[in-house]
Amino acid sequence: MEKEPEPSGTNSVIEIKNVDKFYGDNHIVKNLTLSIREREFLSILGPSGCGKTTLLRMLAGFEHHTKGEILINGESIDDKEPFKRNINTVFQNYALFPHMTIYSNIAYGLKMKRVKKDEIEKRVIEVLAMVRLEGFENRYPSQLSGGQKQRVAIARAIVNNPQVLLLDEPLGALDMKLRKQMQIELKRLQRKLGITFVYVTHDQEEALTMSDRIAVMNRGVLEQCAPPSDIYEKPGTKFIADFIGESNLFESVVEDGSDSTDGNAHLFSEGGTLLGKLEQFEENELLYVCVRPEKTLYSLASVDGFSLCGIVRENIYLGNVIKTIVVLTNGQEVKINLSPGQVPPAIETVLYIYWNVKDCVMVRTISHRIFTELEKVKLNEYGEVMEAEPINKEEVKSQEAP
Amino acid sequence: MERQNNLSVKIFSRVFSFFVFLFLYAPIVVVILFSFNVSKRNIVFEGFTLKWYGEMLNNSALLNSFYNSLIVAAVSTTIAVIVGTLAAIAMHRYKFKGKGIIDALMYVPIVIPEIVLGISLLSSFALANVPLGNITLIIAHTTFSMPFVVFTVKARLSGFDRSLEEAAMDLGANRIKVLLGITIPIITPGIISGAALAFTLSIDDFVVSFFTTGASSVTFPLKIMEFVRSGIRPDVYALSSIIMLATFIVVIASQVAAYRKSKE
Ligand SMILES: Nc1ncnc2c1ncn2[C@@H]1O[C@H](COP(=O)(O)OP(=O)(O)OP(=O)(O)O)[C@@H](O)[C@H]1O
Ligand SMILES: [Mg+2]
Repeated sequence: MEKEPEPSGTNSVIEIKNVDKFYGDNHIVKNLTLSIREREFLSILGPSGCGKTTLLRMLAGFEHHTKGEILINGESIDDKEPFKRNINTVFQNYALFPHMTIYSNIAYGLKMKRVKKDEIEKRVIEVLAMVRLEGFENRYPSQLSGGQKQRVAIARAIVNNPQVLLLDEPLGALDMKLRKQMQIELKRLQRKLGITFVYVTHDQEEALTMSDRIAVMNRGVLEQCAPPSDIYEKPGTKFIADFIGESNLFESVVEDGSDSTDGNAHLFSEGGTLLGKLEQFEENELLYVCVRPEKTLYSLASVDGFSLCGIVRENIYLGNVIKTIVVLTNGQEVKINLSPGQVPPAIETVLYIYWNVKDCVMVRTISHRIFTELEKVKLNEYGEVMEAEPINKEEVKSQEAP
Repeated sequence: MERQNNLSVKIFSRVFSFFVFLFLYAPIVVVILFSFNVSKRNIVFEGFTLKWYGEMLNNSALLNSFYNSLIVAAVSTTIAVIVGTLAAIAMHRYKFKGKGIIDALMYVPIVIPEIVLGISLLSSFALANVPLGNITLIIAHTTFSMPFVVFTVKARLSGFDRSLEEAAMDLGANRIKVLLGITIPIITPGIISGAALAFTLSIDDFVVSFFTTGASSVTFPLKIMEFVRSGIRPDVYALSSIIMLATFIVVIASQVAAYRKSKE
């Protein structure tokens, strides 16, 4: 019997405050603020090259942030060398020591901390059982399979009982089946040990199923950090709506925002008019209405407020769903998911797309947000900024120099 | 047709390799053969004897020079290995101003004619007023053998995964422990072959030693050269044969050790 899963705490272990990272002139991590909580499973998700590994390496101490502040347990990590942090890392390529046996690999961290020999032995045996590798003590890393190496890498980290475990795409090199199995084992371990996991991945399904919270990054910017259900159902930005799961995005402008009578926002898009949620709108604001394929509906006659007319191009049977692809008059493709019981519309049927307003999400791009912010910046008569301060790279550079 | 062609290629390659081996090993076989020759003049083989091996043991000048060669080789190899390994690690790891130039300068002692190296070392010692002897010999030998250590270690480092060092640090090892416990053991095959190279280069060096040694210290190759002037005696052959056997064993052993290490 396993222990009851401990709920993730609310106290933060790591505080990342307005952190910027430059490699030369390249701005890799941009003004990132994130607090990582006790005992939580936090995934960092984002496309390749968005700065996930860089962020993790700053936490582990292999890279220094250029600007901002990182606190671990309330203490600044600025002058804490990697070997003085109570944080361990599981490397993407495992980084097992090739000249040591599995036993010595796992014992290495404890040996460095001068733990007594019999205590080391006890803990190594214990952790080997935990990752189901009993009897592998005397083998060398080159004599293990990928999945086994993976588990040794995890064992080598958790045997030190760290406060935080950083994992950089630990399952990246494994095949699908092993991956699924390791996902379950990792989650089980995390609950059992109550360690904070910071888990980098670019597999969104993995992130959705395992995490307590997901931090989505794009081009060095943290776009949103929220529980999986929120990320999926209430994506905060256009990028997330597009990146996580499938969605239909309609680029629109507000037709009448303030004086709506029916409680819905009336919007214009290239394909026709549509309805969205009533929010605070800026004048002529460009926004995106996001509707998941399973929430997208169609009818043969037009529906009040909607005039998205299209033609059925294709029906794809995928077993548990039927996907209907509709092409709108402006060329945009709309995906509709139907459950297997439903009869899909015949190909080349002309129909109208609509949805229940409660099922859609209004999202904006991050850059759009910045532009809106910029418009609020007031300039004095010499063209200098009076209130808000835009990011100043010169200043960042001068701090970097010793 | 095809088959005939194949056959002639086969015969040709056999004959060719036979001549290559003959060319390489005939002189060595001659030396070993004549070390057992009864006659003092090594023109014809007149009968088998072991007396030259006995005589060799009484030739203290020859033995002393060999003993001195061993000391010089051991000390210069040790220095070359320590300094060369650390230099290779530093050059592999850090970017600094003028790194490209230093990289290129490392080749100089390798490509420069030995005689030029010998003369330049001699004039440097003269300028610095260092008396010629074992010290200058050791410095000179370290100079020409260290680049070889740097190159073999660097070659090994190029396949070295830096994340191993990061992993060790992540587990609480400080920089010294990382160097001694992770980096050095993994690049050991490179260090071993570098050391073997340095040692053999030192043992049989003649040209540089000729310029950089004084009356007080004589190395084995220098001593043999001296004998040659007055006519070689078979006891030199005897010692040469023993050295060859020893070298052969050392080379095989280091190859086996390096191979085992790299397989881990
Ligand atoms: N040492 C470095 N010097 C210069 N640029 C670097 C360095 N390391 C990373 N970068 C750059 O920083 C950006 C972010 O890299 P990072 O490794 O953090 O991406 P990532 O999100 O982990 O991507 P992936 O999913 O492919 O692993 C990339 O554009 C990369 O080229
Ligand atoms: Mg990465």
